[in-house]
Amino acid sequence: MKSVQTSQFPAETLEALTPEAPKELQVERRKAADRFTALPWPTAVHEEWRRTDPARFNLTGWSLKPQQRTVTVGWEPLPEAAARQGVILTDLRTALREHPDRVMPHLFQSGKPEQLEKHAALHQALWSDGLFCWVPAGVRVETPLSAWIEPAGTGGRSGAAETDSVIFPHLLVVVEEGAELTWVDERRPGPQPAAPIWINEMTEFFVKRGGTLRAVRLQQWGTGAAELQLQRALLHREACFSNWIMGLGGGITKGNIEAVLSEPAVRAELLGIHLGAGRQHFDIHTLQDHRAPNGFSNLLYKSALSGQAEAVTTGLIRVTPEARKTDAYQANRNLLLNPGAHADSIPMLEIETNEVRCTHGVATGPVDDDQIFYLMSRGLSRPLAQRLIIQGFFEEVLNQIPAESVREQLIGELSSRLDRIDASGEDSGG
Amino acid sequence: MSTPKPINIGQDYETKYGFHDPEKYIFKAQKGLTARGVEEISEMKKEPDWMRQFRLKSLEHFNRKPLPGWADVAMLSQINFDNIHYYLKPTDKEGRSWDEVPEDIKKTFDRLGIPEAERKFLAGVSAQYESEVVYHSIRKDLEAQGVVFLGMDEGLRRHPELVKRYMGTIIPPADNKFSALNSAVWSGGSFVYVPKNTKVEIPLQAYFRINSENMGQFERTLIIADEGSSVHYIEGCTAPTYSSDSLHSAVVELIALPHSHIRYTTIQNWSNNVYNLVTKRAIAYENAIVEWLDGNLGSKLTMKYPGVYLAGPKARGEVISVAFAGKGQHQDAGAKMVHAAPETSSTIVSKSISKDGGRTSYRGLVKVYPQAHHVKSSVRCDALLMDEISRSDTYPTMEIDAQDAQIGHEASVSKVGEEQLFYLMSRGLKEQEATTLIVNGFFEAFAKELPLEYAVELNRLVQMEMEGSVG
Repeated sequence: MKSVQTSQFPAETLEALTPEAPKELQVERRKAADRFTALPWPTAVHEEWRRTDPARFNLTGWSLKPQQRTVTVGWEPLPEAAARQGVILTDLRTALREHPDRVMPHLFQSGKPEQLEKHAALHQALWSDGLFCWVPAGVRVETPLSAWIEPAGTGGRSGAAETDSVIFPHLLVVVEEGAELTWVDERRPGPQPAAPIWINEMTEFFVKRGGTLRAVRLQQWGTGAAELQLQRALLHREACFSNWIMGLGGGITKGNIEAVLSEPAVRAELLGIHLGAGRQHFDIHTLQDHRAPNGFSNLLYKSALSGQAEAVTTGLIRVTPEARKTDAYQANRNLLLNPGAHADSIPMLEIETNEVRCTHGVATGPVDDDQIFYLMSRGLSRPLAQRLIIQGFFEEVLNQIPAESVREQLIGELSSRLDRIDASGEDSGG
Repeated sequence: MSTPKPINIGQDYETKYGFHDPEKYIFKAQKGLTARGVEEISEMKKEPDWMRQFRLKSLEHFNRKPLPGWADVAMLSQINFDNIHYYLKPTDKEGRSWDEVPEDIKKTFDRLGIPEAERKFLAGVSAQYESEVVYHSIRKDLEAQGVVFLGMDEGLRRHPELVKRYMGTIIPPADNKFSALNSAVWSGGSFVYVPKNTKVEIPLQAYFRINSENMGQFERTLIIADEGSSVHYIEGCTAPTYSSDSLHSAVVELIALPHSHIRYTTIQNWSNNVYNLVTKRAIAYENAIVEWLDGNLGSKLTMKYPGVYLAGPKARGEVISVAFAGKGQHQDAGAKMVHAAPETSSTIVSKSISKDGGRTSYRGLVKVYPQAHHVKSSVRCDALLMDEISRSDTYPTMEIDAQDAQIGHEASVSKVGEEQLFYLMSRGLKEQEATTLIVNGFFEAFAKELPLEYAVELNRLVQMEMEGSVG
């Protein structure tokens, strides 16, 4: 008999994180804390940790003091029309207090992520701050809504981030039946970008029947960040979900992006670009989980890597026996800009019914010398030519971003990141 | 136009390959695996002491290593290592002509068509029955040129220096649990040496037959192609259908020295009670070419990932692989290309068909080391699913450490195209005929690389497996 483990966190400590939360949420916190305590830390023997050092994420050397307000969240004011129509955009703890009936049916209800089990349990036990957005049935939000998260100082000392911050932000976005939303969430570096910080964040998206969600994530954590990124989208009948992930910041990222096509006729698009320099490491696992008929999903992830940056892109298309007439595609392209850069690519298919069309493609290669030569022959310097080629490489993804303002913002951020890489000489290593 | 002939799945296997002979053995080891049993094999073979040590050390690795925690863990865990005969000696001598082979065994190979094939189009033949090679021959002209084609045990006796120098260098015993097992109890297999600048124009063939129940066959093959030489080696295998499982666990090592060319073709057609867990790997030096043509039609569970280590500049590796999984079968096959030198190139083409609840998996690796500049590699995997209860998986891995490598991978999973079927049926073909034609076309990339006689045989096997797939 296995004895029941008791959590290393006292119940009152957990409850104090969100005193405003209903009782059942506190119960779930305790259960999650027990799960966390019972599960072993992953080691490199686990398939999902073969390409990223698990020791970077097992909290060795970090002091884990559950506390509130380690995260600052903010958002652009809700346009008047949206507010009038009943759209909610606020921080998660306020939402729990003011709209428990909207939050509780969704918070931690998107299903358990298939990877990073122990880390997900830790998140559910210790989350304290986050964002909540809810769009009522039939409401079409015309302008994109934007929000951001950044590490705060701990212990209420403003601006003084401790050197060993551990944060657990949670994002919850719900688009009800027939509603439509374009959503942008940004991760900012905070007051001390180089300070070590351990991030364990979770995002849950819900798109109900016939709803549309276009979600853009702009990741600009500071260089000291070790980021654990869990994202799960639960998609209902005839939902339309598009997701852009732009990874520019952070020191090391371990991500798990899941789209669950739980009901018939869902359309999901997952697009991602990662720009790595210096010793940045991105390890992103994606799941296109087709569980119902007539689903469509398309994934395109692109990475450009200079310095000794590394990208690991593993992706699974899974089609269960019920998911007849599935059409799924997965592509991964990597541009290696420097001899020290490294890309691993593992696109996987698990197909259990025959009424399908599933394909995937991968290409990894250098910058085309002919293109550089052509641009230089037109008078451009080599760095400028290379930069144009990188921007062109990402254009395929960026061009599909729906709102022009968002597209321009992302292109601008990409450009200034490239400026900083050029200025710091981060890509000259190796 | 010839009409594809429908045959029922498994039906033909039973009469053509599924038979077994009465057991008459000179020696049959007790079931189970012990150090004493391993020593016994070595003593019986009168091996040098280093080989005995090699076997015992390998046994330690085998005992220490866990079963793989991936592929088909459930099926793997059903293997009962204590219920297997690790060594069966069917006869005392290795015949140089078919007349010298014991009558029963000769009849078996007659039924399988081996002597006929030899007369028609082979340069040399080796026939292994249970643990030992029972027949061996090579054309006189090749022998005169110094081409060596022997059973592995005979190879060890006559060329100990070459065997000692190369055996276990490409696949060390500790590589995986099954290579350790093979290294401990290996018996039979082929030893091939092709001298410098010698081209063996017509294929050498080895045929492997398991006859008794709960048998373990562990052949060991080593092929050395010296500089500028070329050789094509073909292996085929069948077994009787029994209700309990047998284990086939081979280790095949290919050494392609500079400018040489090795082509290795496998038509694996074990009965559906055989676990086929083999390790096959080649090393290709400067400008050498290694091709694996790997056809997997039979067995219960196959785990096989032929690999090429591209160790010299401009070396080239190629794997063309087809797999067919019917009821109760899992074909977990793939390829590995390791680019360790500049300007090396590789191609992997994998085609698989799943039907009647069968499962095919492609599992592969393309790795490019930092010093390997100007590497090119392309991987193409296509899978056809014939019904709603079958399954197909694709697990490719690409690890790219060199900036200028050009790596491409594509995969698709689909059912037989309705437009294709409709077109063929509008030209007067029945649905069954149309399906078989499409499937044969799907396998064409593989079939066209085979010698004609084998291509015909493969088409026939595919037709056999396809029967009853429609309606």
